[in-house]
Amino acid sequence: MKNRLLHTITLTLLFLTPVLHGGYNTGDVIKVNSKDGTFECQVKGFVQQNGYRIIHLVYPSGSSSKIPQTETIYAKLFLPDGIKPDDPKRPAVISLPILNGDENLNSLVCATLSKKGIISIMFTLPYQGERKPPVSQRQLEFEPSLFISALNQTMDDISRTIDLLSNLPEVDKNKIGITGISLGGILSATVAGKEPRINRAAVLLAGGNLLKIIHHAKETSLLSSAIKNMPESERSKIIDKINEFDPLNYSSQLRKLASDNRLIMLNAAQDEVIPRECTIELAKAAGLEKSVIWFEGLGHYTAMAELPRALNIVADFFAKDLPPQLIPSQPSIKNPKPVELAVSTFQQLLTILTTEPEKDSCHFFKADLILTNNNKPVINTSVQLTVGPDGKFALLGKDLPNTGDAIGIGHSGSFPWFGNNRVIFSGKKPYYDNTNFLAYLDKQYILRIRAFVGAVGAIALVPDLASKWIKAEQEGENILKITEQSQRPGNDYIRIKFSKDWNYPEYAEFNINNSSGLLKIYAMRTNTMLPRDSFVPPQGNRILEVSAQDVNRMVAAVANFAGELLFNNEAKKQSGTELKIEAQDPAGHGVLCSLGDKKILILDGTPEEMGAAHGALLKQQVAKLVERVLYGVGAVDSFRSGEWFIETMANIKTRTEQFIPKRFIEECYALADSAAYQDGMFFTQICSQSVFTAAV
Amino acid sequence: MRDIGLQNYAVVTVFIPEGKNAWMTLSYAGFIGTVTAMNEKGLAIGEMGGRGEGLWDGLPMSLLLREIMEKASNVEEALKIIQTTPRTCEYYYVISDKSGELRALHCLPDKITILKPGEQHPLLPPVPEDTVFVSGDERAKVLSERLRENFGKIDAQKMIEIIKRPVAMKSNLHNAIFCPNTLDMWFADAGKTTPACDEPYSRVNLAELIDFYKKLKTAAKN
Repeated sequence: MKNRLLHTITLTLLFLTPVLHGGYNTGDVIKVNSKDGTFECQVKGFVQQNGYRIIHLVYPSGSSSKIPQTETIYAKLFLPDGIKPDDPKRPAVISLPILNGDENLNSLVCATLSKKGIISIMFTLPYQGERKPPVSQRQLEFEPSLFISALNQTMDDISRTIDLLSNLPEVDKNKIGITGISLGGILSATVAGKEPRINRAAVLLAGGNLLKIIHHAKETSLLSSAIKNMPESERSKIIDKINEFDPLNYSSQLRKLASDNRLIMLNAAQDEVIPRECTIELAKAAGLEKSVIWFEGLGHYTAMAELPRALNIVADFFAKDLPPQLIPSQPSIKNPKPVELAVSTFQQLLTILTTEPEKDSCHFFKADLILTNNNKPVINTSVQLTVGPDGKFALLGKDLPNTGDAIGIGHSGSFPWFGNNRVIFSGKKPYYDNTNFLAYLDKQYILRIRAFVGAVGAIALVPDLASKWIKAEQEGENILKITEQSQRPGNDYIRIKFSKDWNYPEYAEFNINNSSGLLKIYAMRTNTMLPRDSFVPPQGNRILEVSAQDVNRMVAAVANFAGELLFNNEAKKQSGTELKIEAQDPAGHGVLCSLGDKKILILDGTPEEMGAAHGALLKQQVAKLVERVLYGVGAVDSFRSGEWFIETMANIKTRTEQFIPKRFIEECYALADSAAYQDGMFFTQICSQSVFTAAV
Repeated sequence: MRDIGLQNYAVVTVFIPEGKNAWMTLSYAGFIGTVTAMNEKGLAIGEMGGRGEGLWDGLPMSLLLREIMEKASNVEEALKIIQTTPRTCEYYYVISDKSGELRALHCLPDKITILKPGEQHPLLPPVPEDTVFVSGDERAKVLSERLRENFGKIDAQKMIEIIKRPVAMKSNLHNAIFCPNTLDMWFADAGKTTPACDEPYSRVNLAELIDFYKKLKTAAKN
């Protein structure tokens, strides 16, 4: 009798539950039937975005962890706009986050799916965000049992979330998919393998053999050490439990999905977190070894460079489950929102700075910049950048501080050049060097720029997400004001005045970190008409023909220095009193030690032996220093003096060499041989004298 | 030169050349010369640049200082090398040894000015007794005041305080405080945006480093 009454009440509540087809309102309660009974999901609020709506949901976790904070799931349901009551049901996707629970990437995935008409949901993992217990989140990193408990609960929460989606009137419960990145990708594969209700899975930056990944990745090094340091009996239990979450256990179901083209894997070819062999293991288990989508040349973090492409691939993959009548037509943004304008303008600038134009066209940017610091004018200059195909470019500046009245730098397609209004250093000899300065750029900076551009490109797919970081509002006619979300009003800002059709920025006023100024923009065009002779040095200047390689190295040295300033955060200072051996010279004439964050090099023997040991033990640092001192300082000195620095050094070498004891020259050349530098090393020694003249 | 990030390649190098003095330098990867050094005999030297650019017919300064480290045992021998070696450009040096001898020098290719301890110079503010220093403008005045205030009680820690800004320049790349009696060197390198004088100091001892290396080599042979 009691059961019957309960059944009746439940049925009544189910009928009362609003079936609004996207019209969820704050306070609504969704009754969800699951195999374990019924649970309630509460609608806590919503945010309307351009083209989709984010519904904030709260429902109980699928398992009891005895930690109250983790027992409630906080989720965001992304619903495409325009869902009608008579629409056919559509697919839905669960998106899992990366290891540290960062939700920005996850939001991008869900928002991109929404734009394709697919429903998606993401939720906060146990021990993250609102579900963080008073214990340190870092405990997860070094307490294996807690890590296992978090994984268990995540799997139960995924099951709950599938229950929820299956009960939503808009969702086709037979077309529920899952996706995730990194740890989220591994778990996606596991869930796809063991949960029959999953119809489709896209697995990003993931692999099989979870234990191997934990022991390999520096992100899980504490966990790895903790596992290794456990008593044998406990360790084998923990390893067994970790193996339960390994997608390699579920190859049969994964193969089934893959054979129906319902499983895809996207991976970075040089992933430093998920070893390539682990990705291949998973691909083999799933029968996908020939169809993994590899992002060549990219690592786990720099894979961000391919994020726009990855998002589109994933969205298109899940869109295959959309009923044909629900496939959205290409959206046309007639009246873009301020934040969309801000993102697209920034993206356009990045396109000019970082991409090559189409054949027979160019990117072109021309502007005047007036920069003031604390109301004092610091720079009043003009800049013009033309970027062509095949590595051709020309950057011209006028009235830049400390460099002469006008400067220019470029590559004509056949030779590199730079100079000012007094002299142009033209890299026309020797002719065999047909590289450009990119060949000498530090690869890590190139990858980080690519990753940044990729991230901006991904945000451009879903510009609303930029609202997390920036606030953009229209202010007056065709004026857009951009401020940081975290800033108090009236502090840093950029104010952009656009053309009447909003297509082109005309000027930008800004105030950033007490530096304010005005950028008067004459042109900002991508893939525009290519003017004649755009990339050759300005005519009328004295031309000095110099080594192409030296020009390229100088340009790269300046660019690498800029990269170091931009990307390298200062390492934390570590004092130390104990000498630790870092490396020993294989020939037995030196040792490199550390003392806290300081390096101590000890050398002994003949001049040749000491020079060779020096070069062997500090090869990379020596190369960087030669670049900085000889080519970096050399570029600036050449600009300022109008004399070719390398030639100046060669003259000094001729004048000083006769006075230098033979043993120093022998040591210098042994060091050069060992560190793969020749004359550059000698010049660097001489150059150091000038450097230190002003330095110490 | 802090601005060009040289401090990222800083390394204390100990040279133990065959048949010559062992010595250590506060230096940078790939440099075989020195501007700041002390040898096993307790002879220490520091340098400050002047002008005189273009006067290149001689032994470049950084190698001249290395020559001194490897061949001289005291201030007198160091002075002899400086006086007899063809020099380049214009430099100022301070030299001291473990006997307590010290000198300040102004060197051009064709002229040397030598200041003894406590000797006054029209271009310098008051120099306390038993002291030599080289500095310029307002920095020199503050240095002179701080030296006089602390006279008689200066040790390595006190010297670290004395040479803080404005005695050190904003571009201060590195600092070394040598104790020739003990062969200790207290040193600091500039940070990414901070002068060396505002950075934490470390201590090394030349005798200990040489001993450490010799033991390492002996162990390798066995």
